[in-house]
Amino acid sequence: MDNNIYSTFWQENAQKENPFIAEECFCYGYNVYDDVLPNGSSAEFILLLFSQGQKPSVMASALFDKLTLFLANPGPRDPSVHAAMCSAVSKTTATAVLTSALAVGGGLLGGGHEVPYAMKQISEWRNKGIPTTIEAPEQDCVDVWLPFEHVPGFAPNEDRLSRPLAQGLSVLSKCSERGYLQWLSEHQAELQKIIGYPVATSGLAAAAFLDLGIEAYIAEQCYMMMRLPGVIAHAHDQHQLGFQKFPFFHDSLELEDDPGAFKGEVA
Amino acid sequence: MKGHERISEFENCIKTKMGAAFGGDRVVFRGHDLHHELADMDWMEFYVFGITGKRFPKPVIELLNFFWVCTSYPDPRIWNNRIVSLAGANRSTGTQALSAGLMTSEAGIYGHRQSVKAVDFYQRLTTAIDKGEELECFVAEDMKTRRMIPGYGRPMAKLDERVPAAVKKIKSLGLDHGRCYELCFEVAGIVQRKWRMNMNIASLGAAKITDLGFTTSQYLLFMYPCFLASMTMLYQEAIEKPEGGVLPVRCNSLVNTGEHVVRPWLDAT
Repeated sequence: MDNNIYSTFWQENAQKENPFIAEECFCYGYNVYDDVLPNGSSAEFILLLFSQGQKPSVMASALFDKLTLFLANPGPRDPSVHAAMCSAVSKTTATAVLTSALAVGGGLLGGGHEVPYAMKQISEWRNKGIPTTIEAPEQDCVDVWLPFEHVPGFAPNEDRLSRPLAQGLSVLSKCSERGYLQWLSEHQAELQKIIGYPVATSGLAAAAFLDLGIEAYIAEQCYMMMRLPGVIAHAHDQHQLGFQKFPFFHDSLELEDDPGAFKGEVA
Repeated sequence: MKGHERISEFENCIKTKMGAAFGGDRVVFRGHDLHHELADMDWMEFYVFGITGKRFPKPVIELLNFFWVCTSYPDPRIWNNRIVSLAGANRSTGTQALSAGLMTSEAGIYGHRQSVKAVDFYQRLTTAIDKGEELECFVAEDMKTRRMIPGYGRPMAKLDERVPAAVKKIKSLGLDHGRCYELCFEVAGIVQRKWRMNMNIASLGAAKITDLGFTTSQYLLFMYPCFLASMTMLYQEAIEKPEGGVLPVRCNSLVNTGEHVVRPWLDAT
């Protein structure tokens, strides 16, 4: 084993005088700074990276752009944003703000780890038909992850499809090149009837990633990344407002095992 | 309950048995006054009490302590450790470095994912034996269906130097007994004979932990800081080096294996 880093798509040609500085960078054969930068868009370049070298179509770029907008701000009530705001009012580091959001927003409820499972399900349902009963997937092997308590990509704490979700499905499915968003949009009511609760943001995102041809491992991380702009904005808001304007839930804690004041000798 | 009814009762309400801070007065920790009843506890005993709610005898605490000590390798080449060193060289804070290093320790090729799966293996093994299954059949079937026995083999070495050290420690503490602990050596014999793989510390540790009654979640939480001690050392050394002074990579050491011809962006279809 040598000490080289192997890449399947990235190449850097060094400066003559400094072997540690790249003069040219190539991504899947495209010169990034001399050619893609002046001629491409960020959506196109990120899709090139995430779609393993496929230069995106106009419709794929449009879908990526709409998905980026749709996911950009989960809002301050979202648990991942709530976590980031806890960091922000604590006046901690920017890294802590983002990491807090990722730790909460990477989980099994509304989080990134729902996405690959939701992608698998949507793909299977579309190809083989929707089963008559749908349960949370069983964990085939104990892992650091807990088992799912709901159907991935669906929102167990919601009663009906929300307007933002309905709007998201309506707008994004217009850019559904491979038909997954279109399929989800057409079948979401039937799925809700079987499952008992509606499509979640993670489910919409899963269908969008299938449409974009982005594989599950990347999709999980892309979903988390796309939710960060709102995290940053709300964290900044609370950073400015400070902890005194942020709820502490003073009277909300109910201690069920309270021994009361210490009765022994206090030094 | 359905939909939003599932969570409505938790709005503005956290019921807890774990504890609370009554600022300026007292702190309750699992039903005890933190400062007056628990402050003299050894930290390992305290940590495990927090996780399990149980107080373990001194030899057990010493063994748990040993598991942490024997996994602390101050080697910056190991992937989770390397993150800490890189963070130091790039002048991140110590907390950022250690947090990222510990998060990565929940790894599949080493670390906590193996440990959790190993505890699950022993839990399933004892249940299967209770139902009359043969040990060797269970191990063979597990290898067939899961393509691995958790806690066997290592990514960069054939043997695990921690195993003989752990066996010696366990004996010295008088803890060399327990159903899973005894089974683990039988499993080791089968796996060695059939697939030429050796038991590593994840399997041995999981066997002892299962005997102690830890669940997989409890074991994961217990193991979380096990690489921390050596990571602190790596961070400190890295910040003493020049900025960027940990494993810089020259352009020529990046090898592009993709066979993509150089092509223009706008002409491409």
